[in-house]
Amino acid sequence: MSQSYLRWVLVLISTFFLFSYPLQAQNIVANQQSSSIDETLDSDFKQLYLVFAGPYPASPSSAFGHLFLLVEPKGSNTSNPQLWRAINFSANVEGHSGISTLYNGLIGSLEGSFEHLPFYKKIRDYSYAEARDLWLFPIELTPKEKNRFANFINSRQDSTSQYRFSDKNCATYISESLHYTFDEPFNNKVFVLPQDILSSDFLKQRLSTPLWIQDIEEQLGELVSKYELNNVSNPELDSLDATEKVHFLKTYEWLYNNKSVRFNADKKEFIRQLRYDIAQQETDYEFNQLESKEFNIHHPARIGINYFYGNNSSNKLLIDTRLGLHSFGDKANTYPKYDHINVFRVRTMVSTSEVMMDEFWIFHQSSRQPKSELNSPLSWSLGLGGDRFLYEGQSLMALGLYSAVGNTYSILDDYWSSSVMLSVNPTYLEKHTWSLIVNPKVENRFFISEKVKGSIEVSNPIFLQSNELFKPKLQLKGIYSITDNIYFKSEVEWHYNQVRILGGINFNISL
Amino acid sequence: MTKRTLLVGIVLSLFLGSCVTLMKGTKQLVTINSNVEDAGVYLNGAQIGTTPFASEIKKGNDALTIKKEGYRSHTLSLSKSIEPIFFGNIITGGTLGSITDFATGAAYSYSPSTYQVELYKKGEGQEAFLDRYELRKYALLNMTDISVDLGNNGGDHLQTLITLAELPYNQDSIDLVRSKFEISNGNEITFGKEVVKLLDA
Repeated sequence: MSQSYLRWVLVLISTFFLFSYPLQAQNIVANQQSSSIDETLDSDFKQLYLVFAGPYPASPSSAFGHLFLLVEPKGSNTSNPQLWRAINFSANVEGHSGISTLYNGLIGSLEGSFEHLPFYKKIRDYSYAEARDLWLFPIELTPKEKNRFANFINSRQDSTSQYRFSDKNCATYISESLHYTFDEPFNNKVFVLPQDILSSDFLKQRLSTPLWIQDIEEQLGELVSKYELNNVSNPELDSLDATEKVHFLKTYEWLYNNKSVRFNADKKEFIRQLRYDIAQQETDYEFNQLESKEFNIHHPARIGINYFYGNNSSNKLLIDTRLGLHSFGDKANTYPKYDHINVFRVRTMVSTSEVMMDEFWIFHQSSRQPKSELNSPLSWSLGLGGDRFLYEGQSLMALGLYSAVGNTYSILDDYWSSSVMLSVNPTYLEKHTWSLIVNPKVENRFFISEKVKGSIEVSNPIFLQSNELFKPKLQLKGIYSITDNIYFKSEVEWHYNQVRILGGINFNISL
Repeated sequence: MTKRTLLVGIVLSLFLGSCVTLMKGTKQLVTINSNVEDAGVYLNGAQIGTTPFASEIKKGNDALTIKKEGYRSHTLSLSKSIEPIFFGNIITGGTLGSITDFATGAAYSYSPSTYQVELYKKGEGQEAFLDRYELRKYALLNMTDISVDLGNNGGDHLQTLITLAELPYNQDSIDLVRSKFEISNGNEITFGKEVVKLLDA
């Protein structure tokens, strides 16, 4: 590796430490004011749940998901989950600016504490505001363990603890409380992530199949698709039955509260009539019902071992390592299907004569909500790192900022989507100088079954200082998942009449 | 040269497009409702309207002051919650906490440029204020489910609303909510002196 190459790697890593919050952060949540909740917990409760709020790719700070506890009480309110007691560990960021929070969270200068609040507030935050699923895992406890849990939580009243993104976060303190409850020794790790707590040995035998609250955007998206298909997006009030009126009113309410959609006077009057009519008749429709659902999530780290074959009969070993999050190859029903986040990814080619970096990401995120979704946003991606390109027939590493915008269209429901993206990447091109790479591309993704998926991508990278304008690149990928944590991957790439073929096995592993 | 011109054109159009996305013009429509009607809305010391308020305001104005006789004045910070900038969010790690729950003392945004301002009555305690604030917020954000529960003569959302109003959850309380709702033709939910107007109706 040349000195300049190393220098740019160093610059990128330094940049990461300045803006590293997205990479290590758990879901940092500003401490809210508790209301209507007596903060002393009685040990005579009915059921304790460990709640996992799914990842929130729109904000990398929430990309790993979030853990909190939920207590179902005995007594008159027990049938109403909205009034159950959520116990949440969160950082106190009052008085901190964004940058100050980043810095202090990274070095562990924030403080956090347990807060008690009614569950409806957490439903509102996650299901409505951030379109995240909630998974409620019942925890099996003996009466003695319930007592120990209540003692632990009550002992932490009015006390604060250190908060650090990597290892003193929500998952850490929830884990500590459960270790105490089970009378198990607690040892902190260097990184503590929610998905590792959920699958940890001390806990997983105590967890039952979770109850699931689907995010409201997903629920409404299904409704909107249904009504658009039936051409009833502008209905007559009298033509709607009671359930349809609820569907429309719920959709309008969400558009107004969450998407800032403005309504004219006629529409407001229509909404008022819907609301009034609904209040006059019985309906059996209810949003956010709790239902059991199987949960799968993969471990956060990955190692992939692949065989690589190049055009000039070169045979290499390609080793792919990743710390963190989710990519196209992973199988999980907890991550949004079209959103992908990779962090600390390094893909290295090894042969008998050389070791060469093939891909390097400090951070790479993409979000591609297909167009059929309700109010679907722009597709976009943002990455800091490097990828290997063929430049005038020569393989070179381009390190820098990768950004792209475009749109994704759902062609066949959840099975086939097509993205049109334009990427603009200011990069440092190995052995040359700064370059701007403009890269239009069309990518089709196919989700054939739960285990099988693939993609076909056509792109055309254009380098600012090159005279070559039309050099299309074709890339095919195929994935076969064996378990949640093991999958086969194969890839074929054609560019400049050169072919790269690779295939191998990838393992997601616990930290 | 042609290629460079083309590239510059693509890049310029992309970034200009991005700017439009981020800035969305020089003015923003701001809607402000408050727990008391006819509260004055002030910008840079000059009154520009009263609540319920809906008007376009030049961007760059960070704060509006809401005043009413008998209540504490409240300065509403606009910059914290209007249009969280897309890539800016990513680079700085996103907004903290919920994007719709920007509790800034006595105001929150239940839509990116729509604010509910709760003014403290002079002499009112913090606990009473927070209870009132939470009740109104809950009613605004859950109006569909509350309407469904009224039609079903009970349900989780209605129970939660009544509990927040510190009333017993029984038929009398349900009838109280229903009667006020019907008197206003579905425009309001009322508890005693507290009126929650639904969807600015």
